[in-house]
Amino acid sequence: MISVADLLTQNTLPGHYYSSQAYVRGDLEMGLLENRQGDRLLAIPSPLIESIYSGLIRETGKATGLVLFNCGRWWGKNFYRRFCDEVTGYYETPLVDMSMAEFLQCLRHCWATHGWGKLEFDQSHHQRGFLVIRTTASAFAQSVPADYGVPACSLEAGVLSAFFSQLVGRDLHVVQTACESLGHGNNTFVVGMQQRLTRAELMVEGLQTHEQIMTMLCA
Amino acid sequence: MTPVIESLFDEADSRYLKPPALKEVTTYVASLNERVSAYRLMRDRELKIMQTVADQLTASLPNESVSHIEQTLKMAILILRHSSMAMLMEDANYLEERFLPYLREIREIHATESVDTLLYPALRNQLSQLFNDRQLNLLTPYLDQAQRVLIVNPVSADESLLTVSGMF
Repeated sequence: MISVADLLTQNTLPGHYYSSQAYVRGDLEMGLLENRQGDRLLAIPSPLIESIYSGLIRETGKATGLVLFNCGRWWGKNFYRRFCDEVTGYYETPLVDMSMAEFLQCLRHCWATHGWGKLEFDQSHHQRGFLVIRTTASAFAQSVPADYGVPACSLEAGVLSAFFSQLVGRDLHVVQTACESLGHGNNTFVVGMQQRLTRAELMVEGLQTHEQIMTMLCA
Repeated sequence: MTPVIESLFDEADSRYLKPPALKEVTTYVASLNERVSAYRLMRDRELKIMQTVADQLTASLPNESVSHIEQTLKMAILILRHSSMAMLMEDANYLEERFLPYLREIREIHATESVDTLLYPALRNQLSQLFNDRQLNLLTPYLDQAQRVLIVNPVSADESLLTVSGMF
């Protein structure tokens, strides 16, 4: 015998937390954007992203990707903390106890609603210790100068690196192996242990394809 | 509020509403009393409706796991709540914008299609006993939107068995 009253003890049933219609709230008079918990959201105009790239390229040259990656790591730490607080609070389940599919669903919607683009997971290399993430419609890939030459979503790679490191409690690295700015269909990121991804970074600089890199990593 | 009527309020400085637009407002306002009554009835009887549906599903599917039936019931409650709100506002986009994409994905995760197929007839049966015809006509388009999601057979995802902690 199932008791519906027991299912409704809180009178709230968790639904679609990151629905953009419900999640993003604004106050035009105050010029504020907030999420449904009342935390501030930051809107970044495209010219600012373009300026960040051009400023960094001018100041740091080839280190631009590394600088952005480290900024992303910092950003990702806070992104994870907030994601964790919101999801755990709303669904009343610790993140590590969520089923993989439910967790990925939350992260996909969170990513899209925050304006980072669409995100998909490929777990086919899971047994070899790698998680592949693909994103599309990245604002960073769209705003990079045309002659940048290498995958440009270092900030997102840093965010994902910090996010998954904190999630699984191990220091994980992320290498971007394909990028919309280079004419590829999506931005592809490989998540794994740092020492196992070192050769992949060299191959990315040599403009090897994602498939070539995965073949080498899984050999 | 219905998106069509919401758009009518935008240009008060440039024109008075023409008869077709004004008729739209009148029709909505005239139906509002019924909409509020239906909404109130759903709010007050939600538990009773869903308990009867739960009992019917359990009786029809004696071998089904309780967790699957509970998952379908939770989704059914969300369907009723979202459909009632959409009906109150007469907003055909409300469900698609806020709930149906989530419903599609959550069905894939929990693979509840064997229970889902029995849900809608049981739910409709209960609603038709409680609501009058006018109220049912107001509610049905939104419930049907959800039903169209429920009858699709999702591809079950193997990854649902893994937890996050076992990823690396």
